[in-house]
Amino acid sequence: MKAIQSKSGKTTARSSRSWRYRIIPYLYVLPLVIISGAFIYYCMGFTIAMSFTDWDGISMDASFIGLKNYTKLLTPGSIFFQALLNNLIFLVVTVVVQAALGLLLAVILKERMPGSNLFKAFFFMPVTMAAVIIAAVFRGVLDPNLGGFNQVLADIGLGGLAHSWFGDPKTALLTICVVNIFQWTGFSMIIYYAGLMSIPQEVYEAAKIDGAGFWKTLFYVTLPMLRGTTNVLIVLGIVGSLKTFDIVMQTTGGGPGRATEFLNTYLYKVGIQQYEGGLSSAIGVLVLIIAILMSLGQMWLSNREK
Amino acid sequence: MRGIKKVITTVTAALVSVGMLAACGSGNAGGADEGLGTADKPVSIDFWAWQPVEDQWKPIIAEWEKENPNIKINLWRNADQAEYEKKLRTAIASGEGPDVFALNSGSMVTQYGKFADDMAKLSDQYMKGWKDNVSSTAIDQMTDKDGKLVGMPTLLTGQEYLLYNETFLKELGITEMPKTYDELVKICKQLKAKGLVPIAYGAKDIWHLVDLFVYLSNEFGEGDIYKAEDGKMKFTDETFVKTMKAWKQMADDQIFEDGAVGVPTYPDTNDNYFAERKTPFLASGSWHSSMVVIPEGMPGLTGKIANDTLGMIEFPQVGPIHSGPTTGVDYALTVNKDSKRKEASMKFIEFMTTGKGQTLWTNMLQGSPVYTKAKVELRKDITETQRESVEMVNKTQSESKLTRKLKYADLENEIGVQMQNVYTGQSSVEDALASIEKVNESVDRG
Repeated sequence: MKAIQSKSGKTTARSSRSWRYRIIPYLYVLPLVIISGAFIYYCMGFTIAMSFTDWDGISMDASFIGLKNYTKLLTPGSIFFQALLNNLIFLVVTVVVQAALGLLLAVILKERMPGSNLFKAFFFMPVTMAAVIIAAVFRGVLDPNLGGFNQVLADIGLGGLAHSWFGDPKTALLTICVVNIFQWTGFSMIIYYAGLMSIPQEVYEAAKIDGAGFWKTLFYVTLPMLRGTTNVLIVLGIVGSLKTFDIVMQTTGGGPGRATEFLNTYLYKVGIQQYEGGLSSAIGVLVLIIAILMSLGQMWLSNREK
Repeated sequence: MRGIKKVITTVTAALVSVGMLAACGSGNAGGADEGLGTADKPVSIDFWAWQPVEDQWKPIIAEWEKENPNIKINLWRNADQAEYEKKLRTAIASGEGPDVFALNSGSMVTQYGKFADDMAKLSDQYMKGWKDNVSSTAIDQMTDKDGKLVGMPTLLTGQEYLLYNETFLKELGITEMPKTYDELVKICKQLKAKGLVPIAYGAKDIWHLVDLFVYLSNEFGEGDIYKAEDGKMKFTDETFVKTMKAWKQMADDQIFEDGAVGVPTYPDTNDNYFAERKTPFLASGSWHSSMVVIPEGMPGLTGKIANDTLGMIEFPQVGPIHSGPTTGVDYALTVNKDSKRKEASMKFIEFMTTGKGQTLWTNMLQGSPVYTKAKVELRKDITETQRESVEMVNKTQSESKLTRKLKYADLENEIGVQMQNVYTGQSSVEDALASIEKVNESVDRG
């Protein structure tokens, strides 16, 4: 650097330093760009490309077949629509019930009653458990011949309700909803609990002075102030619903018949078990589009309310 | 100092990036076949499969290493076949597959054939006399539509059998095994009246439903189902109407556990129902003969049946034809076409097909032999029921000409789904068969 004395020399050194300053942040980000590029955007692009082919999911042999896969999926009465309907029912039931129960638990636990931390841990515990374990537990408890649940029903005089919960197409989907609610209500509870703690105490005191009771406070103070939290839970619920796979495969496998076929279980069966990689890719693309549309719709509704 | 730091951070960031790019580009180099190896330079072959399990593999690999000290085998196994296949297809698609991998007959032959070497050519070269020694039915099942032998068969398994608990049945006062469907229904009613599960059957599993459908359909029209899958018959034809009606009759007669379509074979019917003595009957395949006679060195029965004597019979005849059980190649071995260790791989395949590996494995009763000269050796300390059961299984498997698996996975899936719909009353027999035929007509037969 000593040699750089002239005006032009100073400029060269500054220029070299500024080049290094400019390049360093990019180099740090580069690994992440490569990873996300390879594992997310490349895969997404590959899936979109394959969705227009008859790819078998194993080899690299794939012929362009235009929109044939999409036509098959979007034909009225197709398995895709049945799976989509199951997903939507699951979405509505689980999001609403999980949010309601989660809020209820959060409101109760916000009151500093003895053992509230223990209850929080108790309700949150299923969230930390693997879906495969939860599914195995429910499969055992709800087994139509050996399970404890039917036995309890019989013992309390409700033996007429004893049932093959996963084996009856009329109850299988709702039973899966119950399993999911059991697992994820604790998550809603914790998110709502955090939201409740951020509401200033002065607001509640003002409501109290104005004569608001428990229910008025809940509906006119708590719920409006938790709108952002609810929106987050709905978006997470939409994404979670569209991702639902393990709990279904471990309990019903999509059956009986197609009573609990979900988009992801259908995608898996078509792609992995039936070697129709092209069709499976098309399902994946449609799931992505549905997820984007639902999330955008939810955000639009939320913004309109504001 | 600040300048040095900047240089170090710049270089570090660049190295991380370059390293990652380099990692993405690694791959295997090619080369000539490595032969059979020498004491100084042994050959290692990678072998992927879903079985043998650890207890079965130990004596097999010990014998192999004794016979072939210069060929090392690296086994990677996942007992869950679906998981095994997931890893296999990813590896094969990226050109990184193992030297030898396991397949079974049915759709795997169609899908993995392009990655397999021509096994007939390799066998001609390295396994002299194989055509005379290996079951021709098994060879046919592993041959694809273009006539290429995709895998060398190693074990046969078939359906449909009834595993029964002789000790438990005697305690219940049942000493005669059912020979007809009517006798079976009568015994099931007796069991239900005693508060027991009549027959444990995992009707949640599509594979198990299809096994039963193929078995039953052959009793109403032997061989018709294979014509139908080739598009030469329709699934709405009489044979299949009678088959599906027989299945519906089974549901109406309640011969299986309540909610059977929600109960899987493993672990539920096998471990929770049969092994816990909730039922004396398990509808299953020939592989359960390894529960009837516990092979030497294998762990014994567990649960409440630990001290019981078990036996097996063919599932009582339902239709007018006694077609007998189906058989299928449950386990075949193939050489990856990109392998550089084909000679060593074929040595191992010969060992498992017509060599000592075949003897050891079939003596473990995991399946029936494909080697036509094989004789399964049973332990001496077994009862007549056990001996007769295993001999019956091996005899029916070696004599059967009826293929267990269908060629097209989407057709199999639809059959299973529609059987569940018929069982639960969601579909009529006619609607269910129409749906199956619709899928059958859309099958791409190349």
